[in-house]
Amino acid sequence: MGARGLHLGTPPARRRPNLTPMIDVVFLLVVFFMLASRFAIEGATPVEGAASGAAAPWPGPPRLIDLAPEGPRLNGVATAPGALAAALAPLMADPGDPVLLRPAEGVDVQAALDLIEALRAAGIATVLMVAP
Amino acid sequence: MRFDAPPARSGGAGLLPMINVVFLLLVFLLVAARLEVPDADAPEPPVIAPEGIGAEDIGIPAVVIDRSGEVRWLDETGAAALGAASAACARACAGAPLRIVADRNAPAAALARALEGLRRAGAEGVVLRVLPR
Repeated sequence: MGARGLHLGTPPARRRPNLTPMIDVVFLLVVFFMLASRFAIEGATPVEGAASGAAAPWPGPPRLIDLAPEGPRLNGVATAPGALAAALAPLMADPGDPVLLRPAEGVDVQAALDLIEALRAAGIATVLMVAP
Repeated sequence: MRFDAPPARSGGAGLLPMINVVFLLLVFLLVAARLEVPDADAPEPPVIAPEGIGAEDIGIPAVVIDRSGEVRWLDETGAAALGAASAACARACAGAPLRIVADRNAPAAALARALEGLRRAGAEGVVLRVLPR
């Protein structure tokens, strides 16, 4: 210390915390979640089975669709899937009248559901599945 | 000759927007994602148009119909599984329908038999898990 005074020099720059490890970990977490997670929207659709020996009488004429691997048959008559709704219309007094769907062996769930979906789209709300 | 101390590097400040975005991504993934244990034998649900898909109420564990058409519910199989699931749903579903998870390639006849069995066992409402097409 003297006439020239005390010289302490430039104060050191404040040390910032090192962010690199945290960024590494967060990126790893993001990558993990992107690879491991599922975003598919799962939902549900109602399905019904017919009750054998049901107490309520069957409304109207028979409406039985046999779904075979080669295509559907309405009351025993081969009918194109797109023409089923039109063929069913004269057999139904009300759109809520039930229709029986009997899938044959060799028909998978997706094919049966495709047919149910097409019938629902045509306004036929009640499709009851019966075992072959 | 005397040099001043070099200015502090300002690299950290430039990283802040990126860190913000990455944290937002992380929070989104934590909230929105669903983690599942990969299971090669898990049934693949059938697909239908999104308009036909409703919410899936989770009541009790679902009845599973695997690709071969075998019906399972917890440790039970076959008709016993349908009876047990129906009874459990009557006790615990509180109005929620009983769920079936059927593989899209399973025989439709197995699904029809299961639906008939559930109806005989007294199940009120049954829904099938599906995926949007």
